[in-house]
Formats: sequence, structure tokens, C-alpha cells
Amino acid sequence: MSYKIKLTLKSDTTFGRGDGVAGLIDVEVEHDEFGLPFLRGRALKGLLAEECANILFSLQLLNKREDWEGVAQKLFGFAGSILEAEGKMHVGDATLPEELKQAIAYEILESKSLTPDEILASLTTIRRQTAITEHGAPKENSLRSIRVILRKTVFESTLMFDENYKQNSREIILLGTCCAALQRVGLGRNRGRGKVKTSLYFNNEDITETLLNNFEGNIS
Amino acid sequence: MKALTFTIELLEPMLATGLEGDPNAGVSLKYIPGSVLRGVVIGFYLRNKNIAELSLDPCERDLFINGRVCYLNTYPESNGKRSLPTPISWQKEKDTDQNKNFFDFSWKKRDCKQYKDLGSAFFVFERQAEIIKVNPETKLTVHTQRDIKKGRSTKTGGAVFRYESVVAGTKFCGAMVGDDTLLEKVKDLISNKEILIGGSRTAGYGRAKVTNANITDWSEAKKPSDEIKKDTEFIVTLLSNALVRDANGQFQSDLSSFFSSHAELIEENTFKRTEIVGGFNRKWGLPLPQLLSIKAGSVFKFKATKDIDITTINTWLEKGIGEKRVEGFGRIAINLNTDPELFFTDSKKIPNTPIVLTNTSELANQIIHRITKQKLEQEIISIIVDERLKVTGTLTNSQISRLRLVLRKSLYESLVKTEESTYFTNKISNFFQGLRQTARNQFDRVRVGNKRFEQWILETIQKQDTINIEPIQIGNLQIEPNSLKQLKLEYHMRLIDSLLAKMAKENS
Repeated sequence: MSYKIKLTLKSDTTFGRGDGVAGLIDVEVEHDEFGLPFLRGRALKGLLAEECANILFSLQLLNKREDWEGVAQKLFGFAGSILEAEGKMHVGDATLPEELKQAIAYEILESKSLTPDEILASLTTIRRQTAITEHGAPKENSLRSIRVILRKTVFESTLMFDENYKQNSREIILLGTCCAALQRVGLGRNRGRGKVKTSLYFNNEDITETLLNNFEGNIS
Repeated sequence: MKALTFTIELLEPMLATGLEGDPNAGVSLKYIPGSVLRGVVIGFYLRNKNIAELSLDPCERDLFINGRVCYLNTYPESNGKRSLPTPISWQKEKDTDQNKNFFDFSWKKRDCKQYKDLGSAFFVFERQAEIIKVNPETKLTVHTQRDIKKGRSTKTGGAVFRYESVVAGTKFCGAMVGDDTLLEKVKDLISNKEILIGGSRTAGYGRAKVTNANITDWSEAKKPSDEIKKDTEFIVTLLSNALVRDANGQFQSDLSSFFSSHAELIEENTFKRTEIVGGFNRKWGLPLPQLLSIKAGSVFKFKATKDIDITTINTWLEKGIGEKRVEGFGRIAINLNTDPELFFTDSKKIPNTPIVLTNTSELANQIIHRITKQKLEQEIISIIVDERLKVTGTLTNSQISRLRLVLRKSLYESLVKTEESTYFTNKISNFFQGLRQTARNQFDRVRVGNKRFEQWILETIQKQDTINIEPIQIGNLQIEPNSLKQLKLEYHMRLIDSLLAKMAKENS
């Protein structure tokens, strides 16, 4: 059973790496050894889990949280280092398509016609911003440069499950709903960056809408 | 002995941690412990049977508990072979440029030179006395705890985790030894399956694939072909960590008690290290007891006190020694190497083949387009900064600005309309023809190389051969000829504009 999550960037996005390049960039995006940006599986899982928590909170107001809490724990797991606490779902890194990665790896490693920096620069750009004082002047020492991944880039993450979950199972319905709810990722998500469209795919078919409708049907 | 051999290829980085590091750091082992493989097989078994716990009936005991199947450590692969831990007695000369040979001090007498470890955790024999060093690549990744709403770390929540993981793409060769029928059952469970191993495996780490699962007659290392005669020296090399107790039941760092009925230890040719092994049992939710083990690669030299027949030797090799043999502890080799001097050789690198892109051509074309533009831009900067265009004569800033206005308008039109270069050369020609004589004289005095300025501009736009870059290719895709033509036209006009800008700057 092959499920994938596709993240389509609607606005420029920064999957922050936590550091920068001295003298050039203050905030660098997460990228692999070939210069291809990606979003870590841990970050993506955390984002989906957060949306799930928001959904459960909403269900609480409808007194339907209990029906779905166990399902959420099955999907995402819960705190504790025991077998039962482990989630049934493995979230892979959200990367650019594998065949593109391999093609670029060949050009970098074998024919040496490209460098990782060139690849990174072709998929991103650098935004600069500075704080403004109350007088409208730029604040000293506040100029920052941030790398952003260009909008319309599509990332894919492979999902692996311990059990065979069919499309009409509650786990997949909840997962599809979390995907529909996930619309902001990365740094600066409250300031215009990071708008995404998240879709769940099964065998190359987008099933997000169907799952969302199923979820609505389930709770109404 | 019969063994189920298989290859595990990491599809994501692996974080199978040992006891190293602090609570917020994880350093992965460079191999997959047998206990991890056993856990994977148990997981598949439970899912297959649709049960939550083992009932420990005789069949399950045979498969997982009582040693009828031993899950050996899965070591890195090299040239299709399972590597082995490098013996500690193998050392190379320190501070020399020559790195082609090294020595086995379990056979060679030490001299007064200085020696050091080989610096490689694993090796494979390419030929007699020739080895390939095997060192899996690792990667250090930093994860930061972030506040969900703010999307960044905060004062109250910003723990930093450092994970040193084995990189994706690494291949390991593993083996499980035991009865045929039991191995068949295990093979059916894991063959061609995707598995999750190590820590952080629900997100981003640990995905791997099991392939090439086959049951064959197998030996872990070279076996002695004859019995060991009395008073003959032989070497015991640990191929995995060993847990051996002394007479008082304490774990110890000495193998002599195990072989005492057959041989006596020669201390001066013995090289050993110890390691604390432990782990975590997720069934109990408790850490495992930490035990003192003799580290893999430790070498013990013995002298046989009586004839040791081949059956006894094979039993040692097949069964292993010490405790926890089900999880791959206690594997040994007898006379793994008998040459005092050995040599390094390089592994055969299998060249990759170009990829044919099918589904991602749009993104690849976008990358090619942008890289081409970047390279054209870099070339312009290089031409201007390195003064590869020799300009003689000057223009006033007003004339420069007039010409730049026309150029910029043409540049804008080249981006929004698809026009041939003659359209733009006509525009430039019209500009020059429309100039008054005094302005015309200024332009006539300027030379680029040995050409008049107007002539150089028109030829540059027409021929577009001043800026040359290597065509960019990704897979089977290159930039489309029309796109390249448009880009070359645009950037040659930018080159002219940049030259004019430089001239203006030099005037001031």
C-alpha cells in the first residue's frame, strides 16, 4: 500500500536549517548534499500532528473527540518508550522527486558539470529584510538575509504503515483531513511565507478531497 | 553451515545508536546489530499472525529464543561481500606517506617503529593478504525543537538534538544461521520487504529494504581446512562482541577460560578491547542491563595443548562463544589471517549511468533554465571585471544614458516578445542614424578592440558569440534551442548594458 504526501508551495517557503552561511545567509534552507531542498520527516510529522491536535480540539467542542483520539494515537503515537507508544505511520522526508535527485547526483558526481551550490541557487532565492524604527528608518544591525524556496515547487513524502490501512479506514480518513488542514509550514509562516497545499495520494491519485468528505460524513 | 544471507539497503539515514553520546545526541553504530534484525523479524511474524504478543510456543522459541536461529550482525557491504570488523592487531606505520602495506602483530614481532590503527572499522579480503577498507559514511544532523505556532525555537522550548546517522544508500550484508526449515520461515517473512530500523524511525530515519535473501551453505570467514596439531599456535579473532563469564560468573575480557581445555593463551600477541553493551527493551519499556563485552576485532593468540580436530573447530565457528549468541554475539574466526604483512587495495567503483527523466521534466527544465541564466550572468561579470573587452575612447554620461535607454527598452521587448535579433539591431541602427553629428562623432571615437562601438554593438547582438557557456544537462534533458537563443540574445544585450554602466562609472 503506497501513500504519498505532496506539498505544493503556494508562496516562497523557508524550511529552516537552524544556521546560515557566515557572510552570506543568516537563515539557510534544509538541503541535501546535492543542493536539493527538502523538509525533514520529523518536521512534517510534527506539522501533521499539530493539525491533528487542532482537529481533536475542535471535535472536543462537538463531543466527538473520544471517537478519534485513539485513531490519532495509532497514527502518530504518544509519549513513552514502549512498543504501544510507537505510531503506526512512518513519515519520510518531503523531497523533490527521486528520479530528478538521481539525475542531478549523476551530473554532480560523475560528469561533474554541476555543483550543489548551482542546484540550490536554481531552486531558491535570497530575501533580505530589515527592521524599521518608529521613525521609518532602518534599524541598525537588523538586516537579515533568508533563503527561500521558490513557490510552485512540489515536494513528495512517502508514508509507510505497519499495517495495511485501506482508504476508508479511520486512520487514513484522519490523515487526509490533517493534510487538508496543513496550510502553513516553515519559518515566517505567519508573515506570508510558507503557504502550502498538502495532498494525500494513493497510487498517484489525489484522495484528499474524498477523505475530507468522508471525515465530514463521519462526524455529522 | 546453512545461512540466510541478505542485503539491506538504507532508503533513509539509519540511527541504530549504541551507548555513546549524551541524552540529546545519538551516534549510530556503523552496523546493524543482530538484536535489531531479530526485532524486525518478530515484528513481521506478529503482523503475519495478526497477534499482539508472542505466545512462546516451541516454534516461536526455535525462531527467536533458544538459539536454533542466530541473528548475526549485519555489516557494511563492499563489492558484494559482507565486511568484517578490522582486527585490532592490524596496524600501519605512523607518519609515513606510504599507505599501501600494514602488519598483523599477532604474527609479526614488534620493532621500535611507531604504529597506529588502520582507521577503518571494517574490511573485506580482496585476495590473500590484500584487503579493502570499508568505512560507512555518516552524517551529522542537527534537529531543533520548535514552537508549533511560531515555527522557530523559543526560550522555553528549543532543545537541540545532534544525530550522527549512517547515510541513506549504504548497503549492508547480513546473515542468519540455523536450521533450514526455520530459515525458510524467516526468509518468507523478510524477503523483499521494507523495514524500519533504529531510532526516530517514525519520521525521516530508518527505512530500509531487504533484498537478495537466499539460503546457502555459508561460512562467515575463511575456515581452517585441517585440524590444529598440538603445540601449534593459532589466532582467534572476534567477529562480533563477545559476552564471556569467568568462573565466578562475572563478565570478563579474557577468552582463555573458554579454550582452556584445548589451548593456552599467548599474552604478548593478544590484542583486545572491551566495550559496554546495552540497549533498550521497548516491550518492557526498560533499559537492558549494561554488560562488559570483549569488542569485535579483538585478537587472541593461543597455543594448542592438544590436537584440536576439525569438528571441534567447526562447532566453535558455527555456534559461537559466550552468551546472547541468538543476537549475534560471540562470533569468532580461527586464523582469519596468517600473513604478517598485508596490503591495501581499492574497491571497484561501479560508475553510475545517466538517468532518463520522465515525470519530472518540467522541474528539471526549470532548473536547467535558471542555471543557464546564472552562468550567463557570471560570464558577463567575468568579462566586465576582467576587462576582456578592450575599450578605448570615452563617451559622456548623457550619451551613455541615451544608448542605455534604447537598450533597456529592447531588452524588455526581448523578454515579452519573441523577435529575431535583426529586429533589435535595426532599432539600434535607427538610434545611431538619428544622432546629431556631434553625438555621432563621440560614438565614432570609441573602439572596442579594433571595431567601432556601433559596429561592435550590432555584431554582438547579431552573432551572440561573445558569451559562451557549456550547455547544461540533467539526465536526458538540455535547454530547448529556442529558449537558449532567447537567453543568449537577452544576455548579450545585458553585456552591452553592463559595459556602458562600467564606462559611466569610470567617468565619475
